[in-house]
Order: sequence, then C-alpha cells, then structure tokens
Amino acid sequence: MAPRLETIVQHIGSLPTLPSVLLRVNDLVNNPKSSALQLSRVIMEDQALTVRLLRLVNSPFYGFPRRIATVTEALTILGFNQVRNLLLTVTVVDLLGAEETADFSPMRLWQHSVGTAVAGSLIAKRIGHEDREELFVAGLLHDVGKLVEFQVARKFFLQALQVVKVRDLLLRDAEQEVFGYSHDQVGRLLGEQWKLPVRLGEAIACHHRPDLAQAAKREAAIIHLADILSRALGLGSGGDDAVPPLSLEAWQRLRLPEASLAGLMKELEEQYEEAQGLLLQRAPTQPGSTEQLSHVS
Amino acid sequence: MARVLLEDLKPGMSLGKPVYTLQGVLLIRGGEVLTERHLQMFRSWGIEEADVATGGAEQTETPEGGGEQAVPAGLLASAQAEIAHRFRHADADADPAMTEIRRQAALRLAQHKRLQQGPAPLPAQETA
Repeated sequence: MAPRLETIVQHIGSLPTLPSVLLRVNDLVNNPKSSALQLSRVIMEDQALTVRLLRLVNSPFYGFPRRIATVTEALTILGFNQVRNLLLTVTVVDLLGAEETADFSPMRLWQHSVGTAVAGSLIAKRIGHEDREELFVAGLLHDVGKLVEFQVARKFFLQALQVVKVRDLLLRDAEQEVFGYSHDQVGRLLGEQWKLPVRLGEAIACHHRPDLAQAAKREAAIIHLADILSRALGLGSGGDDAVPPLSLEAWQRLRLPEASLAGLMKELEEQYEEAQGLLLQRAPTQPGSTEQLSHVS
Repeated sequence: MARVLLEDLKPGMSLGKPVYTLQGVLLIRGGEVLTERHLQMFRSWGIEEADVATGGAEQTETPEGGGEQAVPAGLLASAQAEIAHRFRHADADADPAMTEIRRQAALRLAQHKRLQQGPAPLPAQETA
C-alpha cells in the first residue's frame, strides 16, 4: 500500500532541508524589526549563495536596468521579500535535484517548472501584480510534490506514471488512485515544512484547484494558467504530456483579454530559453552538494 | 505622454520615458508596466513624478494575425494534430480562452517545425 499522506510528511524529514541560511533569512524577513544589515550579514555568510544571488539579479533575464553590486544594495532596492524569493529560486533546483531514470526524468520536470515559473511571472506582469518574483518561485515549486513522491515513495510514483500511460489519465488523477492524494497536497506540506510564506504555499497547493485557494486566489489562478501555458507549449514534461482543463473561475479572476495570449506565449518561449540556461544548465550532478546540508548554524 | 504625480501613479500604467534617480542612475526603463514594487522604489528614491504613456490604456499587444499564412498548410495541419492530442483532456472547444491557447500553441509549433526544416524551401524543388 502506498504511504499515507501523513507518512509522506514524516519522510519529508529525510529530504534535504533548506540550507540554514535560508531558514534564518526566512525568519528575518518575517520579522518586521529586521534590518537590511542583519539580513545581508546572514546571506553573506554563504559565499556561493551570495554569488548566485548577484549573478541572477544582474542577468539579462532578470532585466534590472542597472548593476546591483552588493547584497545590501539588492535588499534596499528590491526589498526583503524579493531577495528571499530570489534566494529560494537559486537554491531549490540543486536541493531537490534527483538522478535521471528510464521511467521518469526529474530534469524534464524542472524544465516544465521553469516554464511555469516564467509564465507565472509574465502573467503577473500583464495583470500588474506587485510581486512577480513570488510567482516565479511558485511556478518553480508548483510540482515539487512529484519530486517528493519520486524520492520517498518511488515504487508508487512510478506505478502512477504507469497508470498515466496505460489508461491515459492526467498524473494528478493517477496519483489519487495510487496514493489517495496528489502532488499538490504534498507540495503544501513541503511548503509548511520549509516555512514558506502562506501565499506562496497556497499558490503551490491550489494550482489544480484554484477555487480552493483562500489567501492566494489570484496567485493560485496565475499558477493554474501558467501550468497550462507551459504544457501547451510542451516545455519540459510534468510526467504526463496532456494539458489539464482551464478553471473558468481562475481565468475570469485574471481578467486577461484573450488577445493577450499570443504575446504571452511568444514571450514565454523566448524567456524560457534564457531562464533554463540560467537555472538548469550546471554540472549535471553534484555529488558534493550535501555540504549545503551540513551547514548548520 | 503625460506627466503624472507619484500619488496618481497606479500599477498597470506604462512608462512613457525611463525613470532616473536624482543622481542620474537609471531605475526603470521606458515602456515598463508599473507595479506596486516600482511605486515603492519611487517612494524610497524620492521620485515625485513620471511620464506615462497615453492613448489606448491597454499596452501594445502584438496581433498575431500574419502567423497563419506564414507557415505552409501541411506543417500547420500536422502541428494542429499534435497539439489537439496534447489538449485531449482540456475540453478546449468549450471555452474561448482555451481555444485560443490551443490555436497559439499549434501556430508556434508549426513555426518551429518550419525552422527545423532548415533554410526556406524554394518552391517546387525536391531537395531537402
């Protein structure tokens, strides 16, 4: 029998945790009394992270119109939340990377996730959402539940993929049959474990059921549509190759004109290439990456 | 173009001209659509006003009209078939937004297929 949802949570404990730097950054960002100085000190303890943060904010993809030279500058210009989200962005792919297997390719899932991240950020821009970075991270993380299942209950996850193939179901429905729950629910639990902001956690948890969102109705609707656009264009693979139905409620909430879809999808394809290069093209596997885990304060 | 005071600037407006700090450092490029974050930046940098693009409140959308005839019909048909399969669970006919997403996905796929075929084929020439 597949592990119960509660058991999966316990197993999440055996998954990589966020680097301690990120947990401390989280705490500081959530505390209104924190100062930029405190935050920058914590971030700069991790040299590699600092370098990657500055590389990202200065990349053409990020498109900030001038050079940001220091962490303090990033914090003052972009804001605390923004920097936290950027740190998450440069961390999670390495953290949850898994080896490729014949039946399932984590790399293709990351490609799909980067596509969803870019789409989320582009939709946010179109509708004038104030925090595009949050939607980028939400897109990047929306399917992490699948990686958790793959890592801690592989036999059952592969069984679900088999069901997808044989009976042509969407993976989410196959997961319901095999596990009794699906990756969006697992994603919610991981978000809680990582103490992600509520809105971010909900956007991940409700990307298939944006109607269930409470604090993050708009964000869940954005990621719901972003997932669809990323699949429509065949960017990577979410484990099934089909586009899920669009929630009418979510679509109406976004108030996007249908005529904007052409431009959105064109931009998505273009920016996807850049984002992919920036986030996914690294040394394929880094056996030494556990050093991040032992970095306990 | 209209000069608008900070208190009247709203997310969703698009900038007619770039915005610079008092020290002359570029903050936001012209043409960007303003977000709440930009407005926060204005406040923290002491920017008091900005030029906003006027005439058609909507930002410029590129109408994708010419795409369809730019692709040979055979390629478009095969792309449409492939995309229709990808959309088999989506019930795209029921909903105009989904119909448009499917249409755009097929157009883009057809254009990629054409690019993959290499240099633009000369009419009535058999060599690939």
